[in-house]
Amino acid sequence: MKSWITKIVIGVLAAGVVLATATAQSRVTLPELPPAAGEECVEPTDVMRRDHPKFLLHIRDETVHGGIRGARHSLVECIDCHVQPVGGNEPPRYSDPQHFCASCHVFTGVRVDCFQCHADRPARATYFHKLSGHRHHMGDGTLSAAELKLLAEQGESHE
Amino acid sequence: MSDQAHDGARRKFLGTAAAAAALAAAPGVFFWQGVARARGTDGASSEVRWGMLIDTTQCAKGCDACVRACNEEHGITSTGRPTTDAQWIRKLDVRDPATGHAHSLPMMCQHCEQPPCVDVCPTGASFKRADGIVLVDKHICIGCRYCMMACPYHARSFIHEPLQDQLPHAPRGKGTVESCTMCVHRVDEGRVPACKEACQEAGYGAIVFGNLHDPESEIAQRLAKEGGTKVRADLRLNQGVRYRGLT
Repeated sequence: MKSWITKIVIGVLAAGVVLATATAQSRVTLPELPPAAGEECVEPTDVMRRDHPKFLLHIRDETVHGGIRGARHSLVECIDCHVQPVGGNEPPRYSDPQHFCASCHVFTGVRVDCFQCHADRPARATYFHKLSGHRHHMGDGTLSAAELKLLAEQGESHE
Repeated sequence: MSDQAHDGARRKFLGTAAAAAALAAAPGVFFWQGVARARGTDGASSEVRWGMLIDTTQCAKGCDACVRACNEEHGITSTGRPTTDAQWIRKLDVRDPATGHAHSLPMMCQHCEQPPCVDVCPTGASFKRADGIVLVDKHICIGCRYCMMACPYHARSFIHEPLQDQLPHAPRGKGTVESCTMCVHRVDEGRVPACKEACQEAGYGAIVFGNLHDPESEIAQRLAKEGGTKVRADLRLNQGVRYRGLT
């Protein structure tokens, strides 16, 4: 049993070394992540790379069952910032390797079913008014009454 | 989730016990969080129960503003096969054959206090929020459709085909059941449901939306003054949606 665990640990380390080498020497074509609209992500890049599924899973239950909205790590926020129109075209879909999520999931061989239900592109209103979606992005994760009202008005004016 | 739904009486007792304990621990201190807590970022609170009163005397036959608004709000489109299309709200025209009295009314999820859909759900996907809104957690839904069979109002729909371009605030997908959410995304922002807004804009104002637990709210006051019918009241589900003018 113990030897199995040791083997797995060695395997994982070896994979890490291989990946690190690949990164250093670019023998493997790394995914090209499309640029995001905001200046800064809600967490440092290394944290987001490792923990984004944890953030999303945690928030999903709080949002659906508890009705807690406006948190920092929401899927809608990710999409609003990271999925942008390319060269005047519509933003890419998840089925397109240019899509922010797909670019890395294809590389790492991770299959997700988020986008069978969730929008894989920002709402039209959001990418026509890019900055409005990030008003509360870098804040403490809560919305003031004035911001809520503003968002509500923006929502209404685009319906 | 499931014990939450069943144990109304137990919760009430525990609530009373906790309130008594709090008073005993800190005499003179009044614990009051206020209704505002139920909105915005703090999440759903049981101090609120969202409900609707539908005045069928104001609801016009042939008007489907509420249905159109609902479809637009949640990105519900037809597949061209009406028998399996999703339908969160529909207009019914009913007529009493004895008297000839006819009226028109919208029918949707009644947001029961004792929801049969929650009782039968094998995974806990069908649940009731603290503020009384009955929802489907599509992350957990396995598409068995027991809830559709249990619902006395035929309020739920199953999605048979893959969907594309869903709206960010209304995730919907193949293999899951869905129904009226009382526009939970709007309610959490302090807005009113799309159907209510559309009815108002169409000039009928037949839908009143509000907090049934707040005696000062329009809905509570109108219910106190005019009364309201629960459809299939014999089932004792204590719906959040009430009707006026049903005879």
